[in-house]
Formats: sequence, structure tokens, C-alpha cells
Amino acid sequence: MPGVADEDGRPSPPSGRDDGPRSPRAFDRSFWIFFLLAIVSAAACWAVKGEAVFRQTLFGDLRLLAEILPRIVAALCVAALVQVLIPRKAVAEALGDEAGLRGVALAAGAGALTPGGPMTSFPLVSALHNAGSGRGALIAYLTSWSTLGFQRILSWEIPLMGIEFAAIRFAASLPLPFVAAAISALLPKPARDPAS
Amino acid sequence: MALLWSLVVALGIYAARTPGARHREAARLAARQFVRVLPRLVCALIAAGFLGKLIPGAFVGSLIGPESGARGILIASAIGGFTPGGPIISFPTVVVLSEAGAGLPQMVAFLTAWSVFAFHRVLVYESTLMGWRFAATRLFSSLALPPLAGFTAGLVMSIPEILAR
Repeated sequence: MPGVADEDGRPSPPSGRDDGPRSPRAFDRSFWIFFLLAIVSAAACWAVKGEAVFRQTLFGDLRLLAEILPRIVAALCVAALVQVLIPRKAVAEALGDEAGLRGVALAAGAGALTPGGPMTSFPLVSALHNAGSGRGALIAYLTSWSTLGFQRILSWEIPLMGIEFAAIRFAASLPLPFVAAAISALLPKPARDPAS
Repeated sequence: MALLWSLVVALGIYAARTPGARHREAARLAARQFVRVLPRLVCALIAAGFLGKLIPGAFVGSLIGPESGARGILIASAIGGFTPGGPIISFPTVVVLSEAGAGLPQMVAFLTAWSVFAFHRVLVYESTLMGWRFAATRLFSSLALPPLAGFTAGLVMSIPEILAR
């Protein structure tokens, strides 16, 4: 079973045991930091800008929230389904043999399709490395996952920034995995680099 | 959004037909993630809305506004590289900044820098699973990416203008 998508990117130890029931940790310390930030900024807004602006902002926030919640639920469902349908090992085996530009392109494609946070992507990178992928392909995979990842675009970028912004950013980011892989090919490789 | 939900239905039906009825596992995963994200998202969005009203727009505009050009793209790349946390922090930050008058290429540079550098991720996952040498190689290879994405976004934006001529 693939790991729980920690799209929040919050530091949590990367244990090898990534299945099994974990508590959802909805109200841990990071929640209280966000909570405090909301209260302080709301109070500051009321104090500085007055009650009318405070009300207007609060209603605006709640409207935005109502708008994006259904999208976030759908995006989480897609991510979870892709996660259970595509076994990590099969992807690693399919990509491991490919070398050169083809390997980089396939790795970039796989990166964009990998849902979830670092809890999903880094174990896959590790598996790809063990399956024999080159350093450039691994870097292309990670660059693609972080800049072109479909799940982040669906669940965060389009709901919050709009489809036009997302489309322009996506188009501008398409070359990035290849650029990073090309630059990494110019960097020196150690004699026994475990990831080269 | 209709597209997104049809994708959910299609994948759900497919998963339910595969042996082992994996749709239940997926539903459990999604529900767990939702419970985790929701309380923080509500607070982050509310905070972002109020902070956006408090940040002086003229300041943001002169620093990373549409007229700030290459300097703004470089500044936004630097800020993005040092923004900690996951999308629950970065995307509300982008909403705040763009409402305060940041330019689109500058925001693209900010998001790209945050995506590829994410130092908490390097610290917790990359260095432990892949080693520092790999992390350093990847970070060095990625140094130019945020400004590159910012400039390219500016070019993409000007395509309609060029075509109209």
C-alpha cells in the first residue's frame, strides 16, 4: 500500500512503514500556529481597518472556501485512487531500464502524474534509484513532480489562482525538468556516487 | 470541476472492478487526508484574507509588481526559495501577494522557487532517502529554474499581443 499523501509537506519522519492506521493529526501543533495566525491577523485587521473591512474580508474568505472545498475533496479522491491503482513498484520497474533523453522524458511524465506529497514521491525516487535510473532522470522526476504535478494544480492552483494563471505557469514550467537534468549532466560525478 | 468529479467517478468505478476492491482503500486515504488538511486550510485562508488587507499594496507592487521586471522576478525567486511549509502556506501566500499587486511572472517565479527548493522537504526526505550529495546536485541544477520560469511566463503572456500585431 502506498504511503499516505502528505501534501502538506509537513516534516514527519520518513519511516519505511508507511501503511497501517495513523491518527489523522487534524489538530496538532501546526494547526494551532495557523489558528493563532488567523486570530491575530483578524484582530489586526479589525483594529487597523475597522469593522466594515473586517466583515467584508471575512465573508470574502468564507465564499472562497465554499467555492474551493468541493474541488479539494474531488482532487483528494483522484489522488487517493491513482495512488491505490498504480503500484509504486511497477512504475519503478518500467522506468528503471530507460536511459538518456527517453529516460528523462518518461521520468518527467511520471513525476507530473505522481499524486501526493513527499511521502509518496521520495519513496518512489528511492525505488527508481534502486531500479537503476540515472541521476538526470531522478532530478527530472523530482522537478516535474514539484512544478508540473497535476494534483497540486487541481487541488490548489486552479481553485485559488484560476485556470489562466495555472495554464501560463504550466506552459512556462514544461521545459524545467529537462533543463535541470541537462545541467546535472554537466556536474561532476563522484567515483562511486550512489545516485549517479 | 465537473471534469474533476467525472474523473473521480470513472477511476472509482475502475478501482471497484479491480480485484481487491481498492476503491475502499482509496476512500479511506482520501478521508484521512481531508481530515488532516481541512482545519488548517480554513485557518490559512482566513489569515491570508486579513493579511492581504494589512500589507501595503504600494510596497508589494514596487517590489514584485508587474512593472518590477527582472529585478522583481529575482526577488520573488529568493522569497519563494525561503518559504517553508506545504501548499497550504504557499498558495494562500500567492493569493495575498497577487491581491496586493504582485505581477504574474513574479508569482510564477515565487511558486517555482518554493516548489523546487522547499528546504523542509530536502531536510526531512531528500537528505535522508537520497543523501546530501544527490540533494546538493539537484539543488544546484535547479538554481536557474525559478527565474527561467518567470521570464518564460512573461513571454507566454505576451503571445496574444505579438499575434495581434
